[in-house]
Amino acid sequence: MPAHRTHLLLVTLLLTLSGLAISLYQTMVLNIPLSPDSTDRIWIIDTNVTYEPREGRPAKVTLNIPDYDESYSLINERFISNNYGTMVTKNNKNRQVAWSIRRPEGFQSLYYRTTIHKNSSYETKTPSDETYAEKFIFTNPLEKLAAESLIEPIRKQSADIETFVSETVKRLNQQDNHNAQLLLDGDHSALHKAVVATRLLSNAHIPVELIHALPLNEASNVQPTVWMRCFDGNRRLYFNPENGVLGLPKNMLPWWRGTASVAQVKGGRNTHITFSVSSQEVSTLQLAQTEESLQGSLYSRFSLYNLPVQTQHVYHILLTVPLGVLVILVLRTFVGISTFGTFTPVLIALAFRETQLGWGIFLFTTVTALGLVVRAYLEHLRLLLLPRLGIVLTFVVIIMTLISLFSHNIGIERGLSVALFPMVILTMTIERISILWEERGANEALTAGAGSLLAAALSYLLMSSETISYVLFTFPGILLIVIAAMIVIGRYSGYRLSELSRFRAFLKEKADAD
Amino acid sequence: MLINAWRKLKQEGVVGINQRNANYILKYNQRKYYPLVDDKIKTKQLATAHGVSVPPLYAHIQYEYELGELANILNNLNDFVIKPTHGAGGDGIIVITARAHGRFRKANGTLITAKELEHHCINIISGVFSLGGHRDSVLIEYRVKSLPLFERFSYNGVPDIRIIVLKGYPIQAMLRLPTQQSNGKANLHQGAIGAGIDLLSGMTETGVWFNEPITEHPDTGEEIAGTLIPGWLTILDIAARCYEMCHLGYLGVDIIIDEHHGPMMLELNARPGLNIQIANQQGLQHRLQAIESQTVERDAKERLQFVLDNFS
Repeated sequence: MPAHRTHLLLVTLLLTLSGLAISLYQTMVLNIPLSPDSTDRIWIIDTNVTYEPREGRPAKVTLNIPDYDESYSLINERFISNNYGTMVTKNNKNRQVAWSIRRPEGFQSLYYRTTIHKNSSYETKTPSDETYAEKFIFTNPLEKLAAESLIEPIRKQSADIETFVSETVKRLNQQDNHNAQLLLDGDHSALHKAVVATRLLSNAHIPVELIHALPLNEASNVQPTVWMRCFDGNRRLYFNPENGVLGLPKNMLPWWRGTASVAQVKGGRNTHITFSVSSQEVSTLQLAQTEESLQGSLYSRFSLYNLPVQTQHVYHILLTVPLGVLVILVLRTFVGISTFGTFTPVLIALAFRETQLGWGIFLFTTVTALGLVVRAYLEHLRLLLLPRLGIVLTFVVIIMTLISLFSHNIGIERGLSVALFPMVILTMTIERISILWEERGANEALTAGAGSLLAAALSYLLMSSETISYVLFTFPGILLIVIAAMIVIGRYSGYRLSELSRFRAFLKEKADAD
Repeated sequence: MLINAWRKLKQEGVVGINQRNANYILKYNQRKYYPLVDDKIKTKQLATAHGVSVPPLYAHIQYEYELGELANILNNLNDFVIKPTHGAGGDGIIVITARAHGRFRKANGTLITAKELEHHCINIISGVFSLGGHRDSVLIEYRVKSLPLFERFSYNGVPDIRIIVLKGYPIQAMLRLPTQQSNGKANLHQGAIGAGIDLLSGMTETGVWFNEPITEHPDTGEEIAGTLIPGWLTILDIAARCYEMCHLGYLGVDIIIDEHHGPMMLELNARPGLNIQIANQQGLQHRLQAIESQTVERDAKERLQFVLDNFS
């Protein structure tokens, strides 16, 4: 017996853990939301490259595009062009799309549209492919001196990379710092400041790279800004080249690295690049389904959301049935409520889904009561079992039709839903009530009838909950946990609540003795 | 409050349905032996083969067309019992005590026509009373005559004795007394009275009626306790021997005492009810455990001796 116990315990544990693991994987890794109402913001960025081609010359447009390896993930990206050959490549710095055409004619316009969303879990991967500028050699002796005299005091004062970089940028931005002014040589653009700072820092053996990031503001013409980025061994640090402040502001999408412009056009002129950003709220669930990284994955192939919508609807209901059965099992095993069979109440509960609870109970009681009257009459005719069942069933259908017609005529549309009651279940319920009634008396028949209705109502409440239906449909692994729960119930050998009353004679006797 | 009730029941050794199912029926009763007790014809044949006396079988009707013979079969019989072969809980049983005015008199005194009896047989065959609604067959057998001793506290029926037997050891017994409420039937849930029986002496104790203790029969007003059941040791012996017969470790044996033939095994039950505990004012648990801890193999006689030595 202990071996048997251990076995059961193991199976239960295994089922529970697998169920939990599958569901956790779905929520934590695949970002599937726990609630159907949860929404997420996505951004749609259109990059438009326009140029005028040179007559009769082939043209090639190379556009740097984001790598999405950080806090943003790609939902999809589209390359829109007219008769261009498109190729996405990755060089040592950036991901690029190259559009090429042999004979461009007239004004050319190319689009790169990307849809992204911010990852909830911000994880910085260790950059393995970082390519930082080699140590820059100042050839001009004057510049070399200026650089050294700018760096030297910082080296003495700063404790780590963070303060070093920050301080360097700050000094570079001091208007009255002559070393800085000399090095900047009158160019006060952010890009130039970043370039100079990178050179200075490379002399201090701090590898810094330039990064262009796009602020995600909803606008039709968004300008990318320049940032300095270095890696301190744990995480990426971003610095503003204008003031040395650490950290990338919220909603900034790192787009490309290096000093070059975002796009190069060979065989064209008057190149214009505009970024426009828009955003929208979408259901988190939908988002998780469409994420490019999941397309074609094992998960997406086995997700119920891949089924046709009609079938999805069926499974939305079907997957809640085991939970309804669980309710019945609990009621029967722990409470001791008597019902007509285990599954009849669940089927009645399914019918309640369409009729709503109050109407459901009313209609069910009405049809059953009328059916019982007919059944009582048929008893006098002494018919064989099957024809008798057939007559009751036919009568049930007639009652249902009449209820529908009647309620339609007096304008209660709810009454129409009676047609959704499983008539075979109604017929069998009538037959069983009437036999129980005859054999064991009205009391027991009505108790079991009421017990069935109560059980049906409770499982209906559970099965009709939007949240529960969503959770089960989205995380079907929970069904394994339901099985585990059923195993536990299956081995329950304690008293039923009803038995405390059934064996009350024992309690009384004891009390007398005391 | 609930927890206290729970504890008290546990302390008294009361076995609940879940415990009975999980720890006894599932553990000791192998499914393959169920047909031996669910089919009353098989039980009868088996008992006869093992020398256990049962009410003689008059006829076994399996198909509707055989009912044409019913009149012929019944012609020679003055009193008899009609039962479904696979009935449960005493449902579908009709006891005919006599004939009157060309009709049959039921145990409760009302009359029934041959046609009505035939319809009842059709119902039985079509499965109205069988477990799971399967087709069934009709069994017509000897009507057991009550002992005059029992006459005073039974109403329209014959009391029977239910004995719970674990691995062949009888561990608890009760006398089931039909009442007006139970329509002459001896099943507790139909309203019969259960009276505990002292296992050693065969003396009845106070009874239980609808889960409530009762001291007098509600119809006859007779004291229930203090009646000595004749042939008690024979009855216990039959119960003990039923284990080898049907191989069910947890068994309810129903024994009825006929005025002329003495104790007879009426039927076996693989899922005996738990009301016997209320009738005896004693939980089953302690005795069940005492038997479960026995490792020695014993034959029916030795088991009986063990019971008499240990449970009283």
